[in-house]
Amino acid sequence: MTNACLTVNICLYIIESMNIEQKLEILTGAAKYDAACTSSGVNRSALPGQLGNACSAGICHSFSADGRCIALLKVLMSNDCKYNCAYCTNRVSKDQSRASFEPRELADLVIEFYRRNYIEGLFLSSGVSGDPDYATARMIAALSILRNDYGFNGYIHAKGIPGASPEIISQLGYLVDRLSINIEMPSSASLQKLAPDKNPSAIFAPMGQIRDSIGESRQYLLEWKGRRESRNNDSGRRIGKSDDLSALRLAAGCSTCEVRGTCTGLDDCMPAQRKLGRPARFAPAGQATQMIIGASPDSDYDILRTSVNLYDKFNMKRVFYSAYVPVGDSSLIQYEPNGQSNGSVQLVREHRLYQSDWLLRFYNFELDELLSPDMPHLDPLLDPKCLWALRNLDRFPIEVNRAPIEELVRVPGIGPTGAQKIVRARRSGALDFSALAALRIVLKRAQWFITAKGKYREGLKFEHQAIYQGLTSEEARKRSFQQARKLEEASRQLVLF
Amino acid sequence: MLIYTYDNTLEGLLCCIFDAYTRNEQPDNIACEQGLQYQLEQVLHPVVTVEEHWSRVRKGIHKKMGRLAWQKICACYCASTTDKEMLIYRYLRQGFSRGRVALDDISHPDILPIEELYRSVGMEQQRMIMFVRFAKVATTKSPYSEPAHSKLSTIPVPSSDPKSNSGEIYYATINPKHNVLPLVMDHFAARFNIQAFIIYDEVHQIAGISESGQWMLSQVEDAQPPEVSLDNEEYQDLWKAFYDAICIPERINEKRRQQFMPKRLWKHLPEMHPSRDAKT
Repeated sequence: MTNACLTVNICLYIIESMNIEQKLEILTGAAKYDAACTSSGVNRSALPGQLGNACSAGICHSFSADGRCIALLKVLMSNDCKYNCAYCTNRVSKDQSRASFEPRELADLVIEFYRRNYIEGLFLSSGVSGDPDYATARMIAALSILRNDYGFNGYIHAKGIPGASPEIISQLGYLVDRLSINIEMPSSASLQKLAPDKNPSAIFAPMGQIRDSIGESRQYLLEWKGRRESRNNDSGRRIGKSDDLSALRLAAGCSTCEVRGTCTGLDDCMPAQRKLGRPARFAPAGQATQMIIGASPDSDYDILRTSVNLYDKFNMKRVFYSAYVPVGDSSLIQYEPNGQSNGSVQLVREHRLYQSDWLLRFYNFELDELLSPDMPHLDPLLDPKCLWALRNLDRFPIEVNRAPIEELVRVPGIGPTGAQKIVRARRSGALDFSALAALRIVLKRAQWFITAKGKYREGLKFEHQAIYQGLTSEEARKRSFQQARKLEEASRQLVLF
Repeated sequence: MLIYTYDNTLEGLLCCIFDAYTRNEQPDNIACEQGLQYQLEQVLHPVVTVEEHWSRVRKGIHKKMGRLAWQKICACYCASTTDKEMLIYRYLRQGFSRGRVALDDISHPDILPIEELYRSVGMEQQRMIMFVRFAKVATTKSPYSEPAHSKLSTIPVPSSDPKSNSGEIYYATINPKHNVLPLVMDHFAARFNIQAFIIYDEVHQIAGISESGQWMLSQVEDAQPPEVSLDNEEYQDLWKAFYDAICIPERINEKRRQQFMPKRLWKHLPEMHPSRDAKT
């Protein structure tokens, strides 16, 4: 008995003596695999007397040793979790330190970091130790200190917790700029296998709710602006306050009132907005989601088809792909489904998926142009646009001085910026290869697919085999060098034992 | 060889353009009045800065080339390259003679350098918005009253805001390649309108001072950074702890990090300093 007591006492002591730096280290380490950490999607100008603003393009403030952008203070509220998702570093069966922030402690940290220009705002997610509503309520507590007590006007991205009730999700939505629910796995089969405690409907239901709330809030803002304008035109007077607020409360579905019982309408939810006299906005920077790549046997085609559905059905701003990093010993995880692995982490595959994602969203590509059920994998040696161009050589080479911009952006190596530059520059005269080089158009890939002033680049042959070799030689050389080095390291290790 | 000299202001440079047109000349170089090396066979024309002249040129730029071209010229004027005056002069010559069409001719030898310079200055401006790091300055030892920091007293330190009970000042030192401080002050003054702050550019020896959303610039020589308050060290340590914890070791990519965050800027980034524990 004394023994057990002692252990309990020591544990309590450890928990109480944990300082903020230790908590920060644990809760950052617990959040670092979440890739969805941009500060983009909303412009919000600064208000006199309030700290912060938001810039739609997003601002990075540092870059970690892995080369990823640090824009937001990315932490979990708590890494104490009752679920046992095989891919997750915070799963209950993993033996590791657990910690939780106190709401005010976290809010203070955000303010101090923000005032020193370390960060653009906060990214907050949480493990679920008990009820999903309780975990979300603790996040809300921290966020409402930031927004209401401190008048923080910077960027906040929160993760919704599957299984939380619609009322509490709605409350969260009015405090944040972006609200996301992670889909985690590209298919429901994989989700069921690796995350038996989660079910797809608990993920899609809040996604739908967020989409609808964003739409309604945007619509309401438009109507409100219209009303304000007509009223200003009528009398030149300011908006009447009383009737407007009750309307706002209805439209925004402000659930704070029910929860806290003290809410006086939207005034309490968003003082930053109240100053402007405009209705609160629900997640103005939209919603995003993330998939873990390489922990399940899903093909690239499966993954991208899921993304297309997410973009179409839920108006996602972004789908993030996160190469699975082995965070434990779960036997459920299936590595290297298609031999695309680069070491243990499928970084090249992640990169190819992002490239395809961009092609689908900004280059007007359709999914079946890139992949099909018969050819479900992207090529590790070739970027997806090159892959597509090689399969459609009959469309090439195109003449840079005549091709419309939609065709120019489909040339490997030329993006929207390059295409814009070409279109601008060719107005004053036909461009040849040296003029393209002067415009800083990268010709390494593009040279195989274009003519300039009717001429194909000297010394190149427009032929499938030659193009394939030209495009892949450098990548292949890099790859074989890496493989050689790895073999060498392996043999050295063998010698050691 | 015909050389125009001017007073090292944007207005002065615009007056050079005015003089070149009214005197119907083509200067071979435009140089700053100070530090000009006299050489044989040089003909000097000292340009006088007259408001009527530069405002006419400015109006002309807006009318013939548009607002974006004006923005580009302002940004390029902040560049630290020595031949920026002639690049701007040649760009404006093209713009005045051929209008907006000329500015779209971006592979032209008179247009391309300004396009590239604009990009380079824009990148540096963006980097400063990203990498300025403030430290809270001790409130007990105000740099304004402390004789040990007498040099710094040339910076008109903003009086602490009587409304806020804090009375703190945030201080940052930067070392940008181009003189971009004037281009980033709007951003910081708006974002941090609740705090008084100073950003000191140690390369160009210029300080941006802001309070309550207003800002001004001041030329300062060799400002000594004021003493930072104690809790600042605490937050620098916390920030470094966060920075180290967020990295995924399996993904380490030093090349990519340095591509986005060049080493020359690490000097003023607390997260890149060796940790305090290691030092002791």
